[in-house]
Amino acid sequence: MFDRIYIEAAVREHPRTLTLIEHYPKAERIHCERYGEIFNPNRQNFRIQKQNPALILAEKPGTRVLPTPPGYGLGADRHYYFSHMLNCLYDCRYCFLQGMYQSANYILFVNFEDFQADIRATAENQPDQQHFFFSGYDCDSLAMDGVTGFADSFLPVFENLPNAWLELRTKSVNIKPLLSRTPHPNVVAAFSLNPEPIAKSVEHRAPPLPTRINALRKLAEAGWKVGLRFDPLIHFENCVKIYQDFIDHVFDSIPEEAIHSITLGSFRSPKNVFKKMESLHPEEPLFMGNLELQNGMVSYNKPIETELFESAKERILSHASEDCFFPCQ
Amino acid sequence: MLHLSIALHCEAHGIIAHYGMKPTGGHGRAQFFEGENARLAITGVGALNSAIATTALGCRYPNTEAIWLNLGICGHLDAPIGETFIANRISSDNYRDTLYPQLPWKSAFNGIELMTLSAPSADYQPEQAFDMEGFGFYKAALAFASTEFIHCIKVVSDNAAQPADPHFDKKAIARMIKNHIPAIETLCTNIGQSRPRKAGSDWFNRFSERANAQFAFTETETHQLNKSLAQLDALFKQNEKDKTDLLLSTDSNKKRFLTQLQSAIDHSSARNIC
Repeated sequence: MFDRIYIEAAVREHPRTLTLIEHYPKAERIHCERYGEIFNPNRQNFRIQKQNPALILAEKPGTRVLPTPPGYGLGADRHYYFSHMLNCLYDCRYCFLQGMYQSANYILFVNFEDFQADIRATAENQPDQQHFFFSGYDCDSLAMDGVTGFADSFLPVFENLPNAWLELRTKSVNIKPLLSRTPHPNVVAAFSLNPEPIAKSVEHRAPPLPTRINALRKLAEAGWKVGLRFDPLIHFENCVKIYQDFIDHVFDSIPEEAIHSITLGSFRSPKNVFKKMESLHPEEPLFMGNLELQNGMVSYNKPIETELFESAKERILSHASEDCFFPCQ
Repeated sequence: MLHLSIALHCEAHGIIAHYGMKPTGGHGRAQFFEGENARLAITGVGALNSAIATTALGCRYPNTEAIWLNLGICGHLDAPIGETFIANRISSDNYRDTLYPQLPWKSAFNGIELMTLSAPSADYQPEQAFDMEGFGFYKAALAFASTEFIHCIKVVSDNAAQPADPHFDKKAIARMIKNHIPAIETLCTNIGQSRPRKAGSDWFNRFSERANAQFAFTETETHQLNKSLAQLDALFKQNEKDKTDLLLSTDSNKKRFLTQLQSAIDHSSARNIC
C-alpha cells in the first residue's frame, strides 16, 4: 500500500512504528528529524502526491486535544477534536483537507498513548461535565484502521470515562473493529452521507453509498450508536428533490433507536482554503458557480443555501426529533 | 522538456548524443546545450557551481513544465560500481537543511540518502551516497519546479573497495551513465504523465482575443474574464461554446458582458457537478 515510509527520529524505536514498518517490508524507509521537513515545505504538488501518498510516522508533541470551533457541537457541555492522523485516504473534492496542507502524504502520529492521556486528563479535570471528542477532523477515523489499529487502541479508553464521548467520523465500511467489540454507549460511529450522484462524482475513492448505508445498518443492528452527517450539502441540478428522497432512504434503512445524532451543513470553506482547492482542480464544477464570499467564508449564495438547507432540515425533522438534530451553519 | 544539470562533460557525453544536443552558449563557467526535448547545463564540480548553472539554465529557458534532473557519479560504501540510485533525502556538509524529493511511485532505481560534500572523501558511510553537486542543484531547481519534478540520479563510481581515483577513467564514466539513459527516460515519462493536464483550448484563446478587442478591461476584469473563460471551457460542450460567442456580438456593455458569463457558469455548473 505504501511505497515510501518516512520515520521521524523520535519514533524510530516506538513499538507502533516497528509493527507498522513490518507490515510494509517492501516500502522504502526514509529517516527524518521532524515530520515538518517533509510535510511543510511549500514547493510541493498536492494533486500529484495524492496519486500515491507516502506514510510519515511521527510524534505529536504539544497540545493534542483542542476545542472545536463554535457551532460544531452535539449537545455535550464541551466539545473537542484530536487528530491522530493528518490527511485522508479518500479524495472528496469538497473536503477542506485538500486546501489545508502543502503535502498529500499521510502523517500518522504513533504516540496514541499521549493522546489518550490528554483525553483522560480533559475528562477527569471536569468530572461533572459531559465531554465530546471528535476523532475524524483531519482524517477519516476508520479508513486506515487496518493499518493504524486506532479503534482497538482508543475505544477502551472511553469504557472507563463515563463523562466522555467519542465520535468516529468516517466514510469507511471497515467496521470490523467495532463489530468485534461489545457496543459502547459513549461511542458514536458517524457516517458522512451524500446522495448517490454526489458520492459518485465528487467523493473519489470513498466506498459507494449503498455499502456505507449497509455498514451503518449493521452497526445499528449490532447495538452501536450511529450518527448521520448530511454535511456538506451540495447544490446541483434537482438537488432539493434528490436530497429529500435520499434522506427518506437513509432513515428507512437505519433503525431509529440507534440514531444518536444528525448533523446538517451546507458546503462552506474558508476563503484561503477554497482558493487552494480551486487551484488544484480548476476544472471542477463544484468550485465554479453560485458561490459567494461572506465574512471570509465561501459558500452558496443565500437563496440557494437557504432553499437546500431548509428543505433538507424539514425532511430530517419529519423522521427525527429536534433533540438529536444539530445544524452546522 | 527535460532540464539536466551535470557536473562534467564526460558524464554528459551520452546525454548530449542521445538527445542530439547542440551548444547554445554559457553562463560563467557553465556550458549550455539544447536538443528538441532536453536542455543541459554542464555546471562544473561543486554545489555552488551546480546551483549557479541550474539557476542560469532556469532563467535562460523559463519552462514551468520542465522536469529537472541532476545526473552524475557518487561514492558509496559497498554498492557495486555502476549501480544507480535516486536520492530520497539530500543533505549537505555545509547547510542545515535536509531536502526530500517526492516521487509518487516506486522508481526502477533504489532510493538513497545523498550527502553533498564540499570536498572529495573516502570516508564512506553506510546507506548513504556521496556527491558534490546534488544539494546545490536541488536548492536552485526548487525556484523553478515543485519537488515532484526535481530529482538527483547518481551512478556509483567508487566505493570502499575501489576508492575514488583523482584521475578517473572518463570513458568508463561516460559508458556507465549512457547505460542508464533508457531507465532515466522511463522515469521522466512517468514523472511527466503524473502532471495534471492543463485545460485551455482554441476556443478560449479565440474568445479571449475577441473580448479584449471589443472591451478595454482593467487588470481585475482581465483576471475575471480569464477565470470565467477557463471555467466555461471546462463546463461547456462545443455547441454551447458557440452560443456563448453570441454574447460578444450582442452585448456592448463590459460589466454586463462579464455578468452574463458568470450567469452562464452559475447555470451550467449545477448541471455538471454530477
